Amino acid sequence: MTELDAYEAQPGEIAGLGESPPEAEAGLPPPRVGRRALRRRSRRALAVWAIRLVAVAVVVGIWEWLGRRDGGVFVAPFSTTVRHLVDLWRNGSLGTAMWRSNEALLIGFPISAVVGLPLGFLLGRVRLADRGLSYFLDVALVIPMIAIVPVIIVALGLTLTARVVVVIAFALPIVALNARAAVRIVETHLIEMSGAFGASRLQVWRTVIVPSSFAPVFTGLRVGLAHAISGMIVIELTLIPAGLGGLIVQFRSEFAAGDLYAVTLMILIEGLVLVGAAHAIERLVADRLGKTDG
Amino acid sequence: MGRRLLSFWPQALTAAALVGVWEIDASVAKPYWLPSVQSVASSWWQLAEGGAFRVATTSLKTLGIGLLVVLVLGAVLSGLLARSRLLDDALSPLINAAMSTPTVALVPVFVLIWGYSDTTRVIAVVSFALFPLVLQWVVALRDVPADLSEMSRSFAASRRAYVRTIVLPAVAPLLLNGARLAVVQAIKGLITAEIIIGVVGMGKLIVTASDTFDMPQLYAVVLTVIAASVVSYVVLSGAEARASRWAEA
Repeated sequence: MTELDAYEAQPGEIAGLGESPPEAEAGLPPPRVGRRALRRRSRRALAVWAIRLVAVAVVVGIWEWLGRRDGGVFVAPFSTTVRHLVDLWRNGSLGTAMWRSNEALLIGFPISAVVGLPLGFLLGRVRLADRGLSYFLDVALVIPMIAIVPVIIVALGLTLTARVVVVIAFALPIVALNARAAVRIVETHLIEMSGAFGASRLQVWRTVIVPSSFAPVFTGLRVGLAHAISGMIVIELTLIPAGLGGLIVQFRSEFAAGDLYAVTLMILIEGLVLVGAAHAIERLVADRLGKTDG
Repeated sequence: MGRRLLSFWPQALTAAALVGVWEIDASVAKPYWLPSVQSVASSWWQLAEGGAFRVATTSLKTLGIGLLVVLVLGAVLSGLLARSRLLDDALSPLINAAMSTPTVALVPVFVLIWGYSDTTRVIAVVSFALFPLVLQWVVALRDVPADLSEMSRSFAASRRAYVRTIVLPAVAPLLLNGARLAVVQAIKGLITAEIIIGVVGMGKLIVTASDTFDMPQLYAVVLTVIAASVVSYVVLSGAEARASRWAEA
């Protein structure tokens, strides 16, 4: 274990940590669910959702209030922001910008997955490669990646390639490290057993390693997607005023608070929707895998 | 000690290979974007001698203030969530969702509101570091083993003895883990804000160097930032490892 190796225990980043602890839902299914227990549970679900709604309403309310008090110069109220969002969407400038921004994501994220997953599997299984190379990934995860954006831009110019490379730089380390962690935690006794039954290497991979490492791998892809979106925005905000980041830079220099807030909100929404969708797919597949297993 | 250092040979080998390839590429192919290792080193020395790194003190000050705010807010929030299962169930998914959005996008809004001031950077630090810290600390605070706390109660342990012998060993490693995560995120937030603002701290050095195409200086500053964040990470990891050993003893 090198010191950087200890990275594996960080919430929300690596494999499953940071999600709500599973024992809450999966651990203790009550043997017989009485009607009263059911009612208690649905009342609890109601309370949970009520608190969530209140929390969101409080945030939006404070935002609206600050905006009104400020007169919309520095803080555009929520209502104004939504109006500007609709306007920008209608006149097409937001759609164009989104498309331009997402080109980098659309190319960069699949490359991160296609390169990062095999890399992670390799590092998780081959000890020497792991010791020689994994610390680069640890370092990549720990440093402020934005600092290397200027270097990439000088090297590649103000091009789509530069934007794709930044997306990869943001997404690939987390994807690879999760894949590495995933094949590492496969229980060795299962592998040994399949070996004892004369399974070939390929069979071991197909029947043991891949199915049991699915969940952490997918978590890595989801977090990687979130990082990739950050990367896509970062480069546009710093030096290549293109796409959504370009709009932000422009609106900021024009002090067009409403438009600036609208584009920012759009970016946050995109993150929520894409990562939320990834989460939903992850759950769906995990459920199905769980069913075929049991 | 020597033994231990020797066991790092694969890492040393790949690091040396990287520097070697860099130097050969820089001196043979001479791409304009890759300065030689020596020129970067001498540029770094010049910056250090000329006192350019003194701007790092403003960066560090902002980082310190931001972290302080994060730790205090994080303690309050995670305390609340760890106390109440209901609040935790309701709010943790929201925090998780918020973490899946690109926080960077908020920095221009902060700049619009607070201008090129310290406040902007402190807020950026907080926005990057707070939520990961809270999620980790909630897990930490809930980790006090119930059977042990019951036992200490039945043996009528004093409050102080209870905290020192049961609570601290149980939560210290995870608390430190959260703090480490917060520091990493805080550095990211700070550098992001400084680069987007472009006129203060280490970010200013980076932006100036890249605007003037001063490659050796750009590499020198970027490598300094990278080194600083790796060092702080390694130091905190060490503290965490020590805490876990103490907790197990």
